[in-house]
Parts: sequence; C-alpha cells; structure tokens
Amino acid sequence: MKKVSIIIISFLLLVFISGCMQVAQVNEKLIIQAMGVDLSDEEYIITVQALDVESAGGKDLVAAKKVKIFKARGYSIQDAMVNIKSQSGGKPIYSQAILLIMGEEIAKSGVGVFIDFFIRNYDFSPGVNVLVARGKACDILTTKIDEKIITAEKLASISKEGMDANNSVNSNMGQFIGDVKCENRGAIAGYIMSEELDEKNALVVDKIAFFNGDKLVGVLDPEESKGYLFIKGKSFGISDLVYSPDFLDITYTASNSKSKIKVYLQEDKLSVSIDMNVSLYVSESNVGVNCESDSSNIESLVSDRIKDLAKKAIKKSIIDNKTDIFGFSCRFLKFNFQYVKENDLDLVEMLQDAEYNIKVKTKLVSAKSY
Amino acid sequence: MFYLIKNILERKILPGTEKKLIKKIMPVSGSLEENLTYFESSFENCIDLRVRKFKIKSNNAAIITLDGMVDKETLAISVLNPILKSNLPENEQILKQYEYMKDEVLSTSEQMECFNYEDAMSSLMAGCTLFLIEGVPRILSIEVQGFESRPISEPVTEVTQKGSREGFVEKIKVNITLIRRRIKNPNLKFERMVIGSVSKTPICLFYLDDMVSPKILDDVKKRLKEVNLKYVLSAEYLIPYLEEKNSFSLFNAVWVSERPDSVCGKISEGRIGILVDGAPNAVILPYLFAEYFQTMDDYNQRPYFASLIRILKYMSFFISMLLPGIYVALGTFNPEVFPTEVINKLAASIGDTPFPLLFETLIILFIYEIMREAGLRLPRALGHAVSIVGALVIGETAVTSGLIGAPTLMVVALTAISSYVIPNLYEPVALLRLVFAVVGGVMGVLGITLLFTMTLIGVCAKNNYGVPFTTSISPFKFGEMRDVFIRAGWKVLSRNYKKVQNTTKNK
Amino acid sequence: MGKEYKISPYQIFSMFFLIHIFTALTYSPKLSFSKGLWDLMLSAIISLLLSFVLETPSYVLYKKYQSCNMFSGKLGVVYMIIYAIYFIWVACYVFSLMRVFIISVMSPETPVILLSIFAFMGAMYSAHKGVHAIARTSVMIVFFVFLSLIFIALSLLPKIKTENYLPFMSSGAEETINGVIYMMSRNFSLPAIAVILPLIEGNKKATLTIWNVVTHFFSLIIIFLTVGSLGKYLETQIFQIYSVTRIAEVGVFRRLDAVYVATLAMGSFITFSEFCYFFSFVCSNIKKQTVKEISVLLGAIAIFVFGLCIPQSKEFYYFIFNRYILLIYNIIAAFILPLIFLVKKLIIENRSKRK
Repeated sequence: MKKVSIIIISFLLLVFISGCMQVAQVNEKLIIQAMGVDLSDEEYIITVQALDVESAGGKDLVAAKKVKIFKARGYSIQDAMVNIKSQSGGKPIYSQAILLIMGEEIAKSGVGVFIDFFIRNYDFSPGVNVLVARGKACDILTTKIDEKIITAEKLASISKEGMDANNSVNSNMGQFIGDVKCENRGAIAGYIMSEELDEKNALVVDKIAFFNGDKLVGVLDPEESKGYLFIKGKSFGISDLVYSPDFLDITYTASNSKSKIKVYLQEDKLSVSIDMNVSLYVSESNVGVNCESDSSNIESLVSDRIKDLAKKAIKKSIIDNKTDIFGFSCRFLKFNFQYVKENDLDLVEMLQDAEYNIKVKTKLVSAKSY
Repeated sequence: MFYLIKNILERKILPGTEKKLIKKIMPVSGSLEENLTYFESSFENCIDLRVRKFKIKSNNAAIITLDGMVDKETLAISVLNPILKSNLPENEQILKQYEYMKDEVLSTSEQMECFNYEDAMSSLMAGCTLFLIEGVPRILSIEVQGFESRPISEPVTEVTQKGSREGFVEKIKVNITLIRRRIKNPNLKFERMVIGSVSKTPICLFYLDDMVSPKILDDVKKRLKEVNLKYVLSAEYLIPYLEEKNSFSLFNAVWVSERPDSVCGKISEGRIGILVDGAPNAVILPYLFAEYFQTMDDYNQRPYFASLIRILKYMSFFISMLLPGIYVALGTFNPEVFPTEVINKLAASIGDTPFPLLFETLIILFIYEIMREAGLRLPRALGHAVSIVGALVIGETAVTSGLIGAPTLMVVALTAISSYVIPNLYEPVALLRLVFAVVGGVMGVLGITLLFTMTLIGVCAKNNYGVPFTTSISPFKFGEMRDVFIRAGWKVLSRNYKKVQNTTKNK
Repeated sequence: MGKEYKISPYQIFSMFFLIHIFTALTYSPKLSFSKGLWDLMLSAIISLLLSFVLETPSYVLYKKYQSCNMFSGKLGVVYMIIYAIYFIWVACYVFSLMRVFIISVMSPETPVILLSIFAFMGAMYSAHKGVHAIARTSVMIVFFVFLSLIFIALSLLPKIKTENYLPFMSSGAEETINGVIYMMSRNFSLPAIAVILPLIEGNKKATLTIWNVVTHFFSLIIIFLTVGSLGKYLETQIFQIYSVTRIAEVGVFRRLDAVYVATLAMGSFITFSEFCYFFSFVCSNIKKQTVKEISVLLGAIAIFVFGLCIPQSKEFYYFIFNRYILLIYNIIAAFILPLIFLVKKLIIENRSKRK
C-alpha cells in the first residue's frame, strides 16, 4: 500500500509541475497605475499609465518612477484593453492601480455603461481614486511637467492635496459606485483640470463634479466646493478670503468644524436645519487689523461668509440640478422610512422646495500675530 | 536501511543461522592453560592482547590485558605488586588462597568475578584486567581502566553564552558522573544494558525514579530490547527504534544533547535519558516540539530578554521555512501584495535575470547548501577559502553578471541566517523550505497555505509514548505557556514542576 | 485510523469555529437571493436562538446516555447512510464553493484542477491522521485567524460611514427570513455535533453555548463592518466580505485580502478534512474491516469527483445546493434523528423500568 501511494504521489508531482507552465513573470506583465476613459464617436478611448519596469532597476530613484503610456480604442473597455495588451505585450495587472479618470464627455453620457468593467474585475480595488477630467482624461494622464509625464502617484497626491486644501474631495471607487446606485444620494468626484501658468502646465483639483444617477450634471466651483465641505463638517484646513468695508480683506483658515444636520417634516414641507461650529484662525490680514479686539467682528464676518458658501452649494446641486450630494434624503429616510414608503415621496424633489436654516457659529481660536 | 534489516530479521531467520543465534555459555575452566588457550585463540592475530604469566608461591597465575586499555601504573602498584608480595597462607586450598587475594590483598576499588568466558570477555573488552590462577574455575575481573579519552570540553553544537562549559565525552562512566554531580539524589537511577550483537556497546538508561512514568520506562526498555543491530557506534543509531513505529516525520521525537545541564533539566521533568558508550551525547525522550526553541541560555538570562529571544526564535523558524516560498509565490502569482516601489524593483530584477523566480531561488538555495556542506567538511585551514569563494562567486559575481537577482539573494541569505538560530531544526527546515519554494512557484499562496496546514497536521498528529508532540501549544495548557513562547521568572517556573507524562493524553 | 481520541472543549470550539469561519466569510446575498447584507444581522440573532434549539436533542441524548451509539442496530444503518451522505454532500458544497471563489475572484494562473487535487490529497492525509491531529491543528489555526481578523477589523473601523446603515427590515421581513434560511442551511456544525459529541470530554454545555454565541457574534461583527465600509457598493459583489478586505489597510500594510484568502483557504481545508473524517467516522461502524480502512479514501474520492462535476452545470449546482434542501437535511441530521433516537431510548428505558 505504501509503495503504491509513493508511486502515485511521485506521478502527481510531475503533474503538479505543469502548474508553472502558463505563468508569466511579473516583469512580463503590464502593471497599471492609472486608467483614463474617454468617449469619442461611440468608441471608448482607454489611456493606461503603467510602470516602466525596464528602467526601474538599479539605484536611480528617478528612473524608478518612470511610466509608460498606452492608448487604445475599442467598442468596450474590455475590447480596448485587449488592444492595449497586444500593444504592450504584457498581461495587465490592475491590482496596483490607484487612479481612474473619466473624461467629461463620457461622465455626462453616463458612467453606468462602462463602470461595470471595474466592478466585475476583482483586481480593481474599491479604494481606487476616481476623478473627472475637464475635457479628456488622456490629456491629464499625458500631461508633462518638467518634460516628464506626471505619474499616477503624483496625480493621486494632487487630488489628496486638493482634499487637504479642502477644495475637493477624495472619492474612491467603492464610495462613488455606492452613491451612483443609491437613489437618494448623488455621487461626487474630484474635478481635475490642466492650467497653463507661465508656459508651464499645472494640474489643479479644486472643484467637485457631481452626478445625478450615473450622469455628470454639474461642477461645483471652488467657492461652492467649500460650502459643500463646511456642510459635511470636513472643513479642516479650508482657507478663504473675506471682504469687509472696514478691514478690506482677511484670510481665515478653519482649524476644526462640526456640522449637525437635521431633516424633518414641517407641514408637509421638508425643513433642513444645519448647525455648524467652526473654529478658525486668521492667517493673513491687512496691516492695522487688531484681531484680538476685533474678534467678534471677524467671527461675524466669517459666519456670514460660510452661510453664503453653503447656500451657494445647496443652490447649485439641489435646487438647480435636483441632486442631493449632502445626504439630506438619506438622513430623513433613516428615521422616517415607513412614512416615505407609504406615501411614495420623492425626497429630492421635496428638498428643492425645502426650507434651509443654516446657523454658523464661529470661534476665533488664534490670531497668530497681533 | 534499518527498517529493511529489521524486517528481514523479524520475518525470517535464514536457515542455518539458528545455531549461531543460540549462544552456548561456556563456564570457566579450572585449568590455567585451557583458559589461556581460549583467550589466545579468540584473539589470534591480535597484537593488543597481553598475557603475563607469573607464580604466586608455587601456583601458576596469569593476568590478561588489552594493550592501551589499562593503566599500567595502577596495574603494577595495585594488582601485581600486592599479589606478588602477599603472604598467602601456604597450607590452604587454592580456592581459599584465591579468596584471600581477592578480599585482602588486592587494593583496587572494583572487581568482579566471572564464571563464564562471555562475562570475562566483556570485562576484558571494557578495559578490565583478568586475573587467572591455576585450579580456580573463576576469573577475577579488576577495573584498572586507563585508556586515553578526550577530556571534558565545551560542547561544539550547543553553545551557550552563560552556563556550564562541560559537555559529554565518549566515556560512559565520565558521562554518568557529569549527571550524578548535578543531581545528588539517590532517586537518580542508572540502569545498564548492552546493545549490538557484535559491538556489545554498553548503554545506560537513567531517570529520576519519583518523576518518571513507569509505563513510558517499560516501553523504552522494551524497545531497546528489540534493537537488533549488530553495531551501535553512536546514539543516533537507536533513534529509529525509540520513535513510534511506521511514523515518518521530519521532526525528531527524541532529542540528542551534548550538554549534561540540559539533560539534567529534562530528566527532572520525568523524561528518560540514554547514554551510549563511545558517543559524546545523550538521548532524551520523549521530546516535544516546543523544546526545539528552548536552550540553556534562556534560563541563565533575565526573563524579559529570554522571552524576546524565544519569540525571535519562533519568528526565525517561520522565516527560514516559509520566506523563500512566500517570496516566490507572491512574486510570481500575487505581486499586488507588494507596494508599488517594491514591485517595480522586483520586476526590474527579474527582468534583468534569465531565469524565472522559482528557478533562481532554487539555484541559490542549492548553492548555499553546497557551500554549507563544503564548509563543514573542509579542514579548518581551508575554511576561509569557502567564505571568500562564496562571497565572490555568489555575492558579487552572480549578481553583477545578471544571473541572479539581488532581491532573491537577499531573501535566501536572510533564510539561511534565520535557520541558524535553531540549529536543531536545520534538517527539517532545509527540506521544508525547498518544498515550500516549489509549491509556491507552482501553486501560489493557496498552495503554500494548504501545504502549511498539512505540515501542521503532520506535526500535531505525532505522539511520543502517549505524549502529544505539540503539547503545551496544542493540546493547549495555559499554565505551561510560562515556558513556551515566553520564559517566566524562576519564581513562577518553580511553582509546579511539570511532568511530561501528565500532559493530557489522547487529546 | 487507530483508537478514537477524546477532544477537549476548546479543540471542538476551534474545529467548529473554523467551519463557521468558512461559511461566514463566504456569505453572499446574491447566492441566497437576497438584496443586501444588513438584514443578516437580525438573521444572525434568530439563527443563534434556533441553533440552541437544534442542538438540544443531541446534548440531552449524550448527557443521559453517555455511551450510546446512534449507529448500532438496524436503525443505525439508516442513520449511517443519512449522515454519511450528509457529510459528503456538505464537503462537496465547501469544495465547489471554494473552487467558485478561486475561479471567479482570484483567476489564478495555476490550473484550478491542480489546486483541487492538492487539496484533495491533503484532506485525505489529514482525515487519515485522525481527529486528534485535526483538532490540535484547529487550535493553532484559530489563533492565527483571530489575530488576522482582528487586524482587518481594526483597519476597517475608520472606513465606516454611518450613512451606509439603513433601518432594519427596510426591504421587508422577507430579507430577514431569507437570511435565516440561508444561515441555518449553512450551519454545518450542528449535525457534526450530533455525531461527534461522544468524543468530547469536559463541560459540553458550556462549550456548545460559548461556541454558538461567539460564532454568531463574529458574524454580526463581520456584517457590521462590511456594510459600514462599502454600503451600496456591496450589491455589485458576489463575495462581499472579500471585497471589503481589499480596502483594509493599516499604514504600510495594504491589500489585506491576502490575509483573507489565507484564512479562507485554511478554513476550507480544515472543514473539508473534518467532513472527510466525519464520513470515515460514521463508516467505521460498518463491521467489514476493508470498508472501514478505505473509508477515508472512498470519502475523499467521492467529494473530489462530485465537487468537480456538480459545478459544471449551473442549474444542477443551484438545485443540489439549494438552501431549502440543505436546510431540511440539516434539520433532519441535527435535530430529528437524534430526537428519534432519544425518544426510542426513553421508551426502552421506561419499558424496562416497568418490568
């Protein structure tokens, strides 16, 4: 019995060796860092930024960060990726991807058509950053800064910096798709655009693109984006300029903020109460402004400004574009689910006619200089 | 090989050999000439047999020794001189004269009477002097051993920073004293047995009578009696007979140690030791998996440091066993686990070399094993040449020429260093890491996980004399964790001295 | 096989915990025809209570008649067949589900058949070694699994968004009921308890209670973290818990889905081995020595062959592993058969007392 089992095992060992026959080594694969999706003449244009493995060896750290760009067309994403595979000669690996950029045109026509590729492919992590490009995504991915193509890492950090500067949000695939599928909430993504400053390219992420369903319906400008962030209570580090006839201008930075949102029914009409508590400090002001003695004036000025920003954001998204990006509907639904179901209410429509009570309480924490 | 021999002997005794197996015990003759003829004919063509004939008063006598086995000075002073200058009662019978010499003349501390040639032969071979006298059908075996033996020195394989520097030597009696000096207790028993039908190697079973399990002791004795080897030249020869039957396992169920202090520590927990004459080590059983990670230094250092080192050993074990396999598996099948910078470097390194990652890893592992073996066998004077060749050939040239990748070399180097943290486990780890590397390169992380689980099951299934091999870890005993992953202080360790046989049986 | 070993309480806890790990980590509302995972929280609580009910006859039977053997006599033959088929059936389910996971999620470059053969050989080896080897290994593996799952759980905590939590039964009670059926149909440990309870020594009541509570609590934690982290995105995924581990990260440790895969692989392998062993344990009551000895091989081959063939046809797969069929079989094996045996024993005892 033992001899028989040893013979069988030896035979199986030979069979097991076939497990490594079809394996491609990691250097023979296409390690994708970023993908861009555009639409042109009913065809998808996929731009892929992959690691340039050949120049990555050795101690040269700069060479280690080189990337290669591949571009292909196809009737579907998969079709285009097959073309990219034949161009590059390597099997694509999506597991290292950190960025997905959608062109404005394809975002307006609807992401639901192509996003399924990224959902079904388990290699694609739900943590991949999602951005909407002004114009074409391929332009963003092929942007050169100091004669070098900007890497996906740099792009991702720019969008993160945008988040830190709080003009934009860091939206990942999981959050984005969840919001697209949610009936009562609009998806958002950072809006990236290329600007030319003194004959040099610069990429900026300071706006927020928002979607109604799966279609891009609008972009919040920098001020409206700040308003959105104040409402969401994510305003740490937001800087803004406040004009005043007395002081001319003050630049304040929010150091901490909390936001309490209540959505309730009042006589068949929705009321949204937003209470914000913002701590701030003055980072720049005109000479002659005494921040300590004028703190109450400054606080009052900033409160009005924040209220204004919030109203702008609400007007642009909910009132003008019928898109609830703040989650007001979800809040109401959570505690009044049965009522909504029974009465078959369209919450977003109700939000357009809702009453918004925005209260902002600011506190000047530090003037930094006197 | 031993199983084969054993099976042949168990199944059938070759015809014609039955007579040889039944040995005739021949009693000693009263005739001196006959006795001397027996020994001279047995040792025909042997240059080391020495026969000294002399007369005691009017009686013929002789002493027989093996040259080089006796202390000639002691022989002359304590045996020959007293005998020759003794005042034997002349009118007494020769037997009474013999008794007089045995009890009142000789000034040696140990002597034994042999009534048959076999016992006399065993004594002679052990280095004793045989005293024969005409008319007395007995041979007096006198212990005046004085053969050259290695002095007590530091153990080579089990080195400690603190603690005793004494190690076992080849002489069984010296080894017995090394143990007896450390446990001054009459409950420490030493039982003598003889193993090896041709070599007749003396072995000694030792244990603490109040701690040992009688069932395990009987089992060990029974297995030792079943040893049917002709020659027993080292303690390792006995290992297959002492382990469970038909159990193939990479890990030893018995432990071989060169240190008397470690051995004494083990028998104080109810284990049994075996000393083999001619072997500078002792066999201890039953042995547990957790004990591979315990050394004498652990108990000589502060508990916090000893615990840190203990954890380091466990980590080193896993690194030395799994690292090449995981590296190959992740690099080939699941590179997404690596951060982008690492994968970049890895891909570049693989791209620069002509071989796939699995093949590269196996090449370096084999080259390392060749170098290690060469380093062991080379004379010391040439030993440094191995390190130069290794450093130049592998470290510098292979990487520079692009045959081998630097990350792979680094992984194998780390594996090699980690395997030396627990030298006792080197053999199973060396084999397992090859297997894991192959499985990782063929089946990826899933294959490694499955193989790891199977290895765990194989280890957990092992039982030694009713004691589970992985006891303390599984079956889990919280109290015994004080000396498994950490080393508790002596106040905690001394609370309840555990007996190995009291671990949960059949669990 | 050798003599039967006694299993201590924490060993049995580990063995059954690993079975539950496999089923919990592969919860898939899509496979249970549900919409979401959130209502499975309520289902887990109901399932906990039902589990206590289902394990009661086995517990009472072996508490009252410690040395009884369900597989003796003519009725025992029927019992043997039912349990043997059950263990093969369930092992096939585990085997095929693991294959589905590997093929759909991991898309390995190694042929899946090779992995299957390797797993089959390993399970056969493990079952041959005996329950004591599997039990001891389970204890060690559970320790690793706990550590890795705690690590993943802590990494997911910052990613929780409260807006992802909807009210319970927002889609109706149907989801919760579906969830209960799904969980109970996959509670494979209950029939195993009926078979293996005589081998356990120690406080059986405490062991079973703690096991039941811990495993269901563990399910609650998984569901809570999964839903909170990914929300609506989960509706697009088959293996939702795997998806959530892909966003788990702690500092430099990213892609903790590798930890998930390793945990799942170990859990499935041990589960597979256990059921292979339980099958051979049941067959060991057959008097023919040859059948006893080769029962491990027979069982493993049956599992391998059926586990490979069944998923070839999607309709047949969904039919044979239908949750209702599994649930009914579970109830029969875990509750009804021990209850019948207990009643029979009580009747016999009463009759002998009257005499």
